[in-house]
Amino acid sequence: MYDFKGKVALVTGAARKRGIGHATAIKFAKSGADVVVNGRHHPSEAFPAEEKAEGWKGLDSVVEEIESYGVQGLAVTADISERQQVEDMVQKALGEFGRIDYLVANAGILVRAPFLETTEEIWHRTLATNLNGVYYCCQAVLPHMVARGGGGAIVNVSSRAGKMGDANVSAYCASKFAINGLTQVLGIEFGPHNIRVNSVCPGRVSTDMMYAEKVWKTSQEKGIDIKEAAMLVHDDAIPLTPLRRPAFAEEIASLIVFLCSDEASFITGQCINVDGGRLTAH
Amino acid sequence: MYDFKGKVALITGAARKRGTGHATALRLAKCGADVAVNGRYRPPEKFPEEEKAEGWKGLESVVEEIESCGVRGLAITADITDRKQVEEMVAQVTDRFGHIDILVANAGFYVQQPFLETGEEQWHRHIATNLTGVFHCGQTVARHMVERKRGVIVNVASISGKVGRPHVGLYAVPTRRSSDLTQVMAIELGPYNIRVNAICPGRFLTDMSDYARATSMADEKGISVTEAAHIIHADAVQATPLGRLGHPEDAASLIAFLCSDEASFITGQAINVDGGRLTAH
Repeated sequence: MYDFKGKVALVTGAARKRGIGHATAIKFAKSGADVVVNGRHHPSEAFPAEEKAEGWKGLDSVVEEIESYGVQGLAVTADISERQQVEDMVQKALGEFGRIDYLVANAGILVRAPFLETTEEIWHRTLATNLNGVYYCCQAVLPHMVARGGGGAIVNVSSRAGKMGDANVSAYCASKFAINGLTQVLGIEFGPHNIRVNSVCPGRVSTDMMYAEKVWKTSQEKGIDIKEAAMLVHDDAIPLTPLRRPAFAEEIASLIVFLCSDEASFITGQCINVDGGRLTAH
Repeated sequence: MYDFKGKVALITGAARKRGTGHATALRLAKCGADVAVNGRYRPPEKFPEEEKAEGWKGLESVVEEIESCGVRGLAITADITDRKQVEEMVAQVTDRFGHIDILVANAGFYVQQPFLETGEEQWHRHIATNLTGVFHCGQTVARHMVERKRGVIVNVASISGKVGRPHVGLYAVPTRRSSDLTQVMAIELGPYNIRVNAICPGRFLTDMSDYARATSMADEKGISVTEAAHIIHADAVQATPLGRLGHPEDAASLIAFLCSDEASFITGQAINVDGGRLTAH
């Protein structure tokens, strides 16, 4: 689709099979980029049923898939809520490839709790991953992009919850709003360096963070395909969505990769919804 | 890049050489679409100097370029503020190509005027072209798309409608409302597998924004047209993080993306392509 030959992408939170990170990494690989993929350490006993059933190996599986497109992949395990681990990750990427052209700050967690039950632990853990992680990754990559010259692009993965509230997701919502604010500031500050920074705000996506295991189990039990099963599991969001279905991770990846490409060379500082029309034109 | 083979696009406001309509027509043609292009009637004596100098023939020139990409083109002169002309235009496209997959409602009109000096006729003209035209084209084409249960519509609006500035009320008001209309269209047409989005360009270098003035200044001062444009539009360039004006191709790229399957989950949006000038409104 695009021509990313010679370019290098770094995608965080890419270890889950049905995730935006994985889909984005593959999309970059298909267009010729070398791709560095990151995830936290996750013991394989704790993998969801679908991943176990399909012999999924986390980041190693993603790297295999990347390399099947004739480009290079590199797996880096790191907890992006820890600044030192982020800096080490970026150094590994630069050590292997010499450059980073695209950063996709995608790693995120969602913990549901009514506000009065949102403990210190939930609050800090959510902000540490979703917000501080973006801050650390951008701060680690931007000096390199600026020094190298020649531009670059960053896409932060926010959410519909970064534009409008929902019950029981206070920490998540606060973190996603914050990512959008940070994105705007970075767009302004780094525009003069031809480094574009945008965020994407997905609506309901059928990923591991959002019931993918339940979708898979439903498809197994009822003998239907994943798309049909997703329609059953996400029945709460569907009537509210003009396109009457949830997204799949690839549809979010498409917007992310577009925003990194030269096709988007006049777009920066934006927080773009990819939500089937659920939250229109915010 | 994208694959629009077998798809038919209709683009309004496509007759000017340095315009979003022309750039978009070419972009979709390069991706394999058959393209119908529309513009108002304009006598050739009134063409800007650059167009005259290069033998520009308006819609005919655009069709020649489209067909040089190996696809089919069709020129339709029509005033999109006139409902009957819009219906005849759409009928011509479906008669010729059988269907319409993509509508780019791009025709627009822009004059700066202080609020207290804005005349009745100017007010109505801006509303008619920039808003009612979007309604006429959108409704007529959407009725056809609903029968096929597929389609994509992109309305060309502006960042002018998102944040107030002096003297652009004539343009800001209808373009803002066309983004609102975009939302409603998206909500109602989504269940029919029709996606509707708007793009909001910032300050671009096009015929509608003083391209002619930039070429005259460039000749006078012996500088490039881009340099001249940066002088004329110094206020905008200064306020833009990417430090430049937009080119019609920047808008065409976003429109092409929104028309493609790469944007399959994007609808109801009004996306800024403005170099960061108006962040995230």
